[in-house]
Parts: sequence; C-alpha cells; structure tokens
Amino acid sequence: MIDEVPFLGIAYACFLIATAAYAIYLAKGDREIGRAGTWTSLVGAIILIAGLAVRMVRARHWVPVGIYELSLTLTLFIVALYLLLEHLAKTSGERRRTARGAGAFVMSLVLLVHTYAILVLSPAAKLPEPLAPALRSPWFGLHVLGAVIAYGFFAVACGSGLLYLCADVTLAREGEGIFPPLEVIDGLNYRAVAYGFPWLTVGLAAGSWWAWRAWGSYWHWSSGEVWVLIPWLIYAASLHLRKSSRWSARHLALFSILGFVVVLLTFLGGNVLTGQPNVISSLPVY
Amino acid sequence: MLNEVTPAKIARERDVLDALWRLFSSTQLAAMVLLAVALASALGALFPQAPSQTTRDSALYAQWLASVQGRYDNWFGFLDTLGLFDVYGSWWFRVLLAFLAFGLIISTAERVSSLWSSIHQVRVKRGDDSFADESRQTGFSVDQPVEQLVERLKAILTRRLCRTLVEWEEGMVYLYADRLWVEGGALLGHIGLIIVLWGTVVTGHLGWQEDAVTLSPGQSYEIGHGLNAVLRFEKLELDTYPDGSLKDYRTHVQIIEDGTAVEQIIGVNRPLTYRGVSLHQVSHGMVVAVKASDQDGQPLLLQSFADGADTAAVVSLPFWGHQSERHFAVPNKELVFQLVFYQSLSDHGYDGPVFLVQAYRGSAIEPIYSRFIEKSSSLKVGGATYHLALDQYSVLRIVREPAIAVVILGLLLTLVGHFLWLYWSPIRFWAVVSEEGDGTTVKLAGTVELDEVSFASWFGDLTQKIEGKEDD
Repeated sequence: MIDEVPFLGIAYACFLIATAAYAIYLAKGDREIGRAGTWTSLVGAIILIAGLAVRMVRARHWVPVGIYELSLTLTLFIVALYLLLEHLAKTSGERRRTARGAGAFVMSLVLLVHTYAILVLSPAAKLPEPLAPALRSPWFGLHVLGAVIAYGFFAVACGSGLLYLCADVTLAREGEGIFPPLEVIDGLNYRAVAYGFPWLTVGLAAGSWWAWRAWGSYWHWSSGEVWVLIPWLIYAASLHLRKSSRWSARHLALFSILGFVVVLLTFLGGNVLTGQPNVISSLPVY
Repeated sequence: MLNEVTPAKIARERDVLDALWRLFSSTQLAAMVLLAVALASALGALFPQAPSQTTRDSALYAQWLASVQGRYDNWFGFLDTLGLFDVYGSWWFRVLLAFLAFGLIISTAERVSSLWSSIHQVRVKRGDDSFADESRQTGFSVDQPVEQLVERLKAILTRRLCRTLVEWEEGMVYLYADRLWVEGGALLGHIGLIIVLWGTVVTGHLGWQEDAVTLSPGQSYEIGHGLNAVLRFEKLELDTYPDGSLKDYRTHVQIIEDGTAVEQIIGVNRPLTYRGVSLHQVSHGMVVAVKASDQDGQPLLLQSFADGADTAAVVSLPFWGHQSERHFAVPNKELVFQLVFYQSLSDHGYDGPVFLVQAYRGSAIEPIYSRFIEKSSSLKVGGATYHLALDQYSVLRIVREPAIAVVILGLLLTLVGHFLWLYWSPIRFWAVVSEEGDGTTVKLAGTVELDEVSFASWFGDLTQKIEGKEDD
C-alpha cells in the first residue's frame, strides 16, 4: 500500500523553500520572492493534505489521533490559516507586507513541528493505530478540530509577535528599517489571537461534552484537560490586557510568543515535562 | 456617639465600595487572576496529583504520598505543605477560583451598565469640529442630493451590520452608526461562563456519582440514592477490527424496579439515562469466577484477597490488565490459589486470553498445582474440585448531574459570545452631510476600541463607496 512518507518529504521541502523565500522577502522587499513564498507554501499544504489523506486511509479513520497525526494536522492548519490571513490582508499595502513578513517566522514554526513529526518521533509512534472505542465520537472530532484551528491561529500570532519584537529592536537601534510599521504588525497579532480564541473555546466545550458522554464527567482536572485549559487562560488574559492602556503592544507580542510556547509544550511535550502521556492519550480510558 | 453615621462616613464607605467595584471590574485584575489560575493549573499538571478517592481518606492519602515521596527527597515536605500534590483541592486554588468567579460577576454587571448607557446615550448630532478626537476622519464633496446620499449611506452601513440613527436640522443631516452589539457578544461570553460555574456548584451540592461499578456475569448492583432500582449484568458485547483490536463494546443490563425488569444497553459514548441518572460505559476487562466443592459434592467456602471480602461459595476475581495477579484462599483446606492473567502467551502456544492457576499449601513457596486455563476448566486439588471460568466484566460510572443542561447552555452562550465578540469590532461612526452649491459635502469620523488597522481599512473602503469610487 502507498505510504505517506514521500508526500511528507516533498511538503517539508516546500516549507523549507517557503521559509527561505519569506525571509528574503522580509530582508529585500522583493515582491516576486514574497509571492513565491506564498505559492510554495500553498503547494506544500496541498501535498501535505494528500499525505494526510494517504495516512488516514492506511489508519482507517479520519480523525487524527496520536502525536504523529496530530503534529502533521497542526502543521497543515498553521500553513492554511496563515495563508488565509495573508489572503485576507489587502492585495497591496502594509497589511500584505506585514503578513508576508510574519511568514518567515510562521513557516519556521511550521518547519519545527513538521521536523518533530517526521524526524524526531520514533517509528513506533508513527505506526497507524485503529480508532479506540472512546474516540469513535463526533464530539472528539470537533474537540480536535477546534483545538487545531486555534493552535494554527496562535502560531500565526506567535510569528507576528516575533516579527514585532525584531521590528521593535531594529527601530530602536537604526530608526526606520526593513520591517513593516509596528501598529500593522500588532494588528495582525491581535487578529490571529482573536480569531483563534473562540476555536479553543470550541475545543474545550466539545471536549467537555465528549468526556461527559464517554465517562460521565465533563471536567475532572486531568492533565489532558489542564494542558488545554492553560493556553485558554493565557490567551484570555492577553485579550483582557489589550483593553488595558498599561500594557504595550510589545508586552502583547511577548504574550503571543509565551502562549504558543505553552501550546507547543502542551501539544508536543506534555509528556516530556511531566513523564505523563501527551494530551490526547492522557484521557482516562480508551 | 461612637456609631454616628455622618455624611463624611457615608462618603468614605461609598469610596471604598467604589474602589472595590473598580478593582474587581478592571480588566487588568481579571488578566492577573487568569494568569494566576493558569500558573496554578500548570503546577497541578507538573506534579503528580493525589487521586480523588485518596483525598477523602487520610490513610489512603498517606499511603499515596509515601508512593511519590522518593521522587522529591528533601523537598517533599515543603511541596506537600504548599498543597502541590492536591492543587485542585487546595484551599488557595479554591480561593483563586472564587476570586475569578467574583471578578467575572462584577465585570459582567459593569459591562451591562456600560453597554446600556452606550446604546441609549448616543450623541447623534455632533459638530464636525469635534471629529478630530476620533481615530479616523475625512471630508469630501459628492455630486448627489443630500437625501439620496443619506439613504445610500444608511444602506451601506446596515449591510455592514451597523445600526443607524439620523437627525435632520436646517439643511444639515447628522448620522450616527455603531456596531455595539459586538460588546453584547463579550457580555454573552461572560454570562455563559457564570452559568457554567453556577451549574458546577449546583452539581457539587446536589449531584452524586458512583465511580467504578464493576459488574461480573450474574452480578447485581443496587443503585441507591433514593432510587429503588437494581442493575443486573446480562452480558458484555465486543466488536473488533479485522486486526483483532477493540472497536466498540457495550453492556447489556436489566434494570429491575418494583419487580419489573427492563432490558437496556450502555455503550461507549452512548450513556443510558434512567430517571435522571446516567450510566456510562467506562471500561471492561476479564474476570475469573471460581466455585468449589468437596469430595461429597458439598460447596466449599472461598475468600478473595480483596479488601473486606467475606467468605462465599463463588468468588469473582477481576483482572486489571496483562500479567495482573489475583488470589483467593480456601480456609477449610489451608490452600491459597494465585491466578495470573495474560492477554496472550505466544511462547506457550496461547494466542488469546489465558490465565495461570497455581495452588500453594499453607506458607509453602513451591506450588502443589500449576496449570494454564484458556476459558473454563475443572481442577482437582487436595481432594476438592474447583471450577474456574474466564469471562468479561464491565465497569460503569453511575452519575446524577442535575445541572448538566445548565452547563451546556452556559458553554453554548460562551461560544456564541466569543465568536460575536472577536470576529467583529465594536465600531462607532459619525457623519455630517450638508448641501453646498450643486453638490453635497460629507464629513466622516469613526473610532474602534481594538484592531485599529482593520478599522482603517474598513473606514477607507466605506469612504471610497460613499465617494462613488467603488460600487456599493
């Protein structure tokens, strides 16, 4: 049977090229190179969709489970949502330049997650597993979908946060630099957090309802539940702080970076930190 | 007079209350409390947490603490004093949650009040000289009659989900538009969370749960809690994938009440609801049922090693997984049996579930009998006959959650509120339209609380449309 590995390899190469193209665009401002970054990301995303489809056919289920499938799905959603936000920005002007500038950072995060999935994870972690009884629920699917969409948006927020800090430092040192205006970067950061947050609420709410139907408890402070709640609390705090004049855009950029670091720890490394299984497999019984 | 109520004292008390109100309704404090809860929750996820059944029993809790003590050496006492092994049950975590809930209620009340005044105290008529205070402003002339332009402006703004108010005065038209319903989304989100918290409190006081009701073939369980119903295990059905791994399972039970038995099925993700109580399929496993008789065919009394188990003619020994061990004793014969369960034991030629039975006399180390059994078998040991049968047991969770509908309602409101609040911006917009010569002069201004960049683009598009540079 056909294997997903070649698809993932080609997608990886596309994301590598896209990262380089966005970085050159940020440094030189060459529109053609920026456009090349966008198209290469899109091609990479389409190839990744094909790879995931092959994987799901092999695994005989359509809901991603296990750290390998979840990491690949997260990669896909980061790229797709980043491209969506880039498309929603005006076809020209600062918003487009900002979105493409953030692309260098966002695609670096994509590479990080994709590298983890295809190169770091052990072969045993990549073996397709049939869907366990408790996971055969549409509510589980909605829980995963909500969380992955939210994390995709938060990755874009993290990328724009990194861009903001670079722009801020450059501005302080050299005056006007190659970076887009700070307020435009901050706008992208806000939009990514604001669009992602309701989806994390979807993930939490669907997860609670699923847990209720499966185990008769919608919340019992398991490590899996808590690792999803923590990013929700951090981003809720960040949205509240936007209303406070005492917190600058630089602080909020730092918040977006911190929030996504927590997301990555939650998503990829909850088991590394605690010695306990990752989010999904830490749920009580399958 | 010590307790004299003076105007100064009243004013002072009012100042204190106002200060407290401002403190609890401040977004900054809300953010700090949210971060504190996040930090505390992270501590709870990083340190091992005592299982809930151990926290209700001091002996069990001490036993559990002893099992984790070795990991933390000298720090153990300090960490235990801070409550880090039972974060979510600790007093300081509850105080944090109470603080969060209180702040949520106060800030919701504050939002209701400010939204009410924002919606009802609108200044439609506003001179364009004050437009400089707003974040965006522009002015231009168009070749269109005033009435027609105002109607077009209203239509454009309505399509953009704004409410519009218009006042006419001496050849001047003042138009105001806003999208303050977005603030209603934030309010809805907060109200939803309050409802969820309220539902949780109600459940804490009025709900109950039986965590791990383990039923073996032929066993019954009295539900209790005022329900005169008995649950009788009929059978467990398993579905498997082609590779043999488990796909789904369900328990067939009879619910017997007032002499009437009703057959019901409880499946994974398909709980059974019976008179306000829900029964959930939590897990399942293998169990060995044992009965014995002596040479004369008289039943022998057996005793399992489970806590508080009495002697009985039949004992059920559930296994919790591969290689788990169970024991039972035969007091009259001074025999102890050890049973070890294996999911499969290919080395010995068993591809499916199998268990090893070993019998020991008194305190001897060497077994006097040893044998693998796949499904069921009768053994003769020490002059008695033992019948052992391997079967499936089912683990159910029985819950009464009186406020589950309230919690769902709260979650739905929170969801709707979050999407409304964060996918649109609360815009305010003013226009002054007047006749000038053959054309019409238009002055526009607008402001938004967050996302100034998107608003600039929104305002720019609107201006282009009004000027006629873009289609409506």
